[in-house]
Amino acid sequence: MQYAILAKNADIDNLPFRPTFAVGFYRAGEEEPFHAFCQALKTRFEDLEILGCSSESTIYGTLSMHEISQDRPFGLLCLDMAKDACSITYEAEISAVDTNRPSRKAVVLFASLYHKKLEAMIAKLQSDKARPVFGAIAASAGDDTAPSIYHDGTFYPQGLLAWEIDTSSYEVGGFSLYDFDPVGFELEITEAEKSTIIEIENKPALDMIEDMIGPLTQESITSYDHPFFLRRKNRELAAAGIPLASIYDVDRKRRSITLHREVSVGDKLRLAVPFSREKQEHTLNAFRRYRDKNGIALLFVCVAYKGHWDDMEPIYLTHIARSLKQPFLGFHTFGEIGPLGKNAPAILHNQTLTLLNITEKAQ
Amino acid sequence: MKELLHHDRETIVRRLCKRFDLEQSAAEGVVAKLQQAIFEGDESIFFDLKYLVHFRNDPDFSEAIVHCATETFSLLSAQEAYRPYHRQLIDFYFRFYKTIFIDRCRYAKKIEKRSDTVQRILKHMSEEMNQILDTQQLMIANISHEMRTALNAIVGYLSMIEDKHTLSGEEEGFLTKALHASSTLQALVSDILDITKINSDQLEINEETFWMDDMLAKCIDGISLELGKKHQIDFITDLDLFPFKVHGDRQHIMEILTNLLSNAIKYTDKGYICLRLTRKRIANGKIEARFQVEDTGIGMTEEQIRQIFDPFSRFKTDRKGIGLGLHITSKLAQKLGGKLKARSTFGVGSTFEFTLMLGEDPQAVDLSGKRLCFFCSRSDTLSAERKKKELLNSLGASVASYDTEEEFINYLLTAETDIPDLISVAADREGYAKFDALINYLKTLPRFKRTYFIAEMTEGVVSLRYFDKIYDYFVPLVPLIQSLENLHRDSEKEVSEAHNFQILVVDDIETNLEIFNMFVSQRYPDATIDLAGGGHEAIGMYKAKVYDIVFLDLKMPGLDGYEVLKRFESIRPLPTVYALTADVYKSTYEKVMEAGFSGLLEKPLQVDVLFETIDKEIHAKNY
Repeated sequence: MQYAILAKNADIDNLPFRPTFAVGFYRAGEEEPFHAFCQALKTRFEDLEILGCSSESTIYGTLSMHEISQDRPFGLLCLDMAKDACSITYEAEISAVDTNRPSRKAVVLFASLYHKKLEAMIAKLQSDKARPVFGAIAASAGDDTAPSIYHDGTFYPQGLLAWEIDTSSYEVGGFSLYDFDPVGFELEITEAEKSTIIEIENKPALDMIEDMIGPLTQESITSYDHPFFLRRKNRELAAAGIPLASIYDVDRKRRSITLHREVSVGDKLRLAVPFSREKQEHTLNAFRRYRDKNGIALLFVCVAYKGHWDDMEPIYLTHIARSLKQPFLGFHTFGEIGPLGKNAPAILHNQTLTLLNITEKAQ
Repeated sequence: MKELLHHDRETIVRRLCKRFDLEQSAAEGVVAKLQQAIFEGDESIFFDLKYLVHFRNDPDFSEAIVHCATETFSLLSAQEAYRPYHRQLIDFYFRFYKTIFIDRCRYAKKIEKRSDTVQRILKHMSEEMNQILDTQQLMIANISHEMRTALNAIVGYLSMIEDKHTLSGEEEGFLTKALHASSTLQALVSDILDITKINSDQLEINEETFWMDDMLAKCIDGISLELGKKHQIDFITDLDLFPFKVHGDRQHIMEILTNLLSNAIKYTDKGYICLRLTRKRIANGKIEARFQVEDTGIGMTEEQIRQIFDPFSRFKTDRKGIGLGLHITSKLAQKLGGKLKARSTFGVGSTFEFTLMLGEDPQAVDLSGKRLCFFCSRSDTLSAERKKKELLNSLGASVASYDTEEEFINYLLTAETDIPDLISVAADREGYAKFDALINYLKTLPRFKRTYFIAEMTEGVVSLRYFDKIYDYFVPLVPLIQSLENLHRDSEKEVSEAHNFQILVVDDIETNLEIFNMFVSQRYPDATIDLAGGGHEAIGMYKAKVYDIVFLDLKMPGLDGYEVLKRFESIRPLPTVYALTADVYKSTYEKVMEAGFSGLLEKPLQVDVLFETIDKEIHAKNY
């Protein structure tokens, strides 16, 4: 499979192959240049299908190492995938998928917004255990911009797209990694409204958490220092691992905590503490497992991961790039979909690095 | 100028190669980035530095970078050619220090702050965890107590059925199995209770003065039944025979030894088990007592030895028990100030030992005027017998000994004067039976009326009726001497002297009363036992009758034990009143003693402790 990562018009002219499919990320607010770039591409390659997703900030591309530290408004990964081996489907079609029938298609979901039903859909798609599921939630860049997804010339501020890839032609794999450990006992949410936790163990949520971790300052919230491990009510402990959910805000009057995820009464939280430096480095080194020189990758980096590590984030991503030794296109997401272990089902997380690797199978 | 002068580039490349062991091309790459940074404000060299410094995480490496940058800065800033670029050079130098120093400090500060929060969270969690553990331990302790009480009743009732011999055939088999299972469960609950008490620091260390050999004899008595079942094992004692009195926690030392001996029996099928005691005098009236149990059992591998004192580390699953025994034993030894050690060779055997510092009581033993006679026809015990005789002689006793049956019988039948105070027989199986019959006859003769007959080293293989005392494996000297001094005052006599002895038991649980009555009335048939099912009933009975001893449950509905005691005291001065409680905590002991109880017995009652308590009271009443 041939590939190229394009970030400027000049790159189009240098494209050494005829792409059939492109997946790209654009900084929220940079929709127009992205669209213009896509149009230019389409003029050149009429049957090219383009899928896009907005990013909170930096688009990471690694054709050369230094690009990690460079900022660009968008990046597009062009591929010469077999036309019949990949397709784009919309929300209604995804929902109608007969999950009882074994499928040979991996699904990469791009959602413009977080919605609880997305979690249900991820679970439903995996009733066929052989189906790899990955994905990300589009991000905005502050209040002036809105997240969106893009397909064939149209931006969708509310929508869900699935990039389906035939697994008989392409190997689709990857994993999600976080750098926190769960600590202490599970705490049950006893009162909640959408994403807001009002009570934990029948006590005001904020009091309960601050009693354990100290004051939740604005700085600690914007640094995403205190995510929670969030186990859904009645969900098995070991099967998928427990996803992280980041804190969005606190309401001191109401003594409540709002997460970047919807919660329900009966869901359980555990506090999370950051990995030690050694463990964090060891985790980053896990990307070495995917040194697939024939493959290409997408890297979904949670805005909370960036927020937590601040200016160290590009350093860590450089380390990943050096470990992977294969090109990837990455962007900043509001949520990532991927498995926590080799045979684990994919789940929706916050605050992870999620790698999706695609390799053409030998004929 | 957009680049450094050629000779400067070369100088910097040379220095880089030397200091960082770089290849020429790599060093040239760095210099290219350096030029871009100085003249074009490009950031990539700082990004690379940040990456290297972070992942190398080596202060020497960072120092080398600072050296190199300073040298470069000096080299360039000193030259006239770069004067127009002075500002760019300063800006580069500032960005360099920001990257290598200020950014690192910011990062360190952030990490330090996060680390403080992590510490806080972990501290909170640890406190919470400890609290939960404490609560769980208390809960386990209470549940275990309740279970032990119930199990005691089950075992008690099953024993009663067994004693009545009403069942036969298959039903008798069922009963035996039920008894066996209940006893196993009882032991398990007891183990759990012990370990909970130790872990929650609720174990009472009760120090008392006791004769060491008496204590050892009781330990051996405790395991003689198990030992009797293993015919291919020799039980050997290598003990300091000289009778000495010590001050220490007798009960817990006995528990440790009994457990070690019991384990040795469990894991040994042939060969021997040896109980060894050596003592060393230390200054300030202290002695160092080293206890050792050696066996020729299955032994352990090095791995097994490493885990032997861990809870549940029972490696031989076909043996009884759940493996808490050695863990408890080791913890107990630790509580007593010792350390249990094990050494072993797989397939050869094991040795367990622990050393305790005990206070020594200088009380001397005087056997002046006592006449002792020993018969020993067994060659295997001759040397031990000889040692014992020497020791008794040194204590002032006059010792005669015989080793042939003919001579000994002749002596017994013809002796008219200087009749021994004690006659000891160590024979073979047939010999014991023969002498048992002879003693029956001798006891009818007036001259042997004050003679005490003991059988030694019977190994539990014979049933003897007329000997006053039978020692299966080890004869403790002190009890023997005490027997000589109080020939008619042994515990059996206490039992018969319980005539007119008044006992009141108060407990709201009927089963407890029944069990108490069953055991005590069997042992003290002449004693009167009154049972009260509650405080008010007990007060009524106390008003109507004077009791020698009262056993009073602390936790009862209505009037509790403390209140009942107060009411008793207002009626007349208190007799000996023991509190009965399932509460295992230290504070209860203190509270009970403060309230005016004579002592406390833990529920479920341990029968031997109960009998000891009653015996003491009967003895005090009669003498």
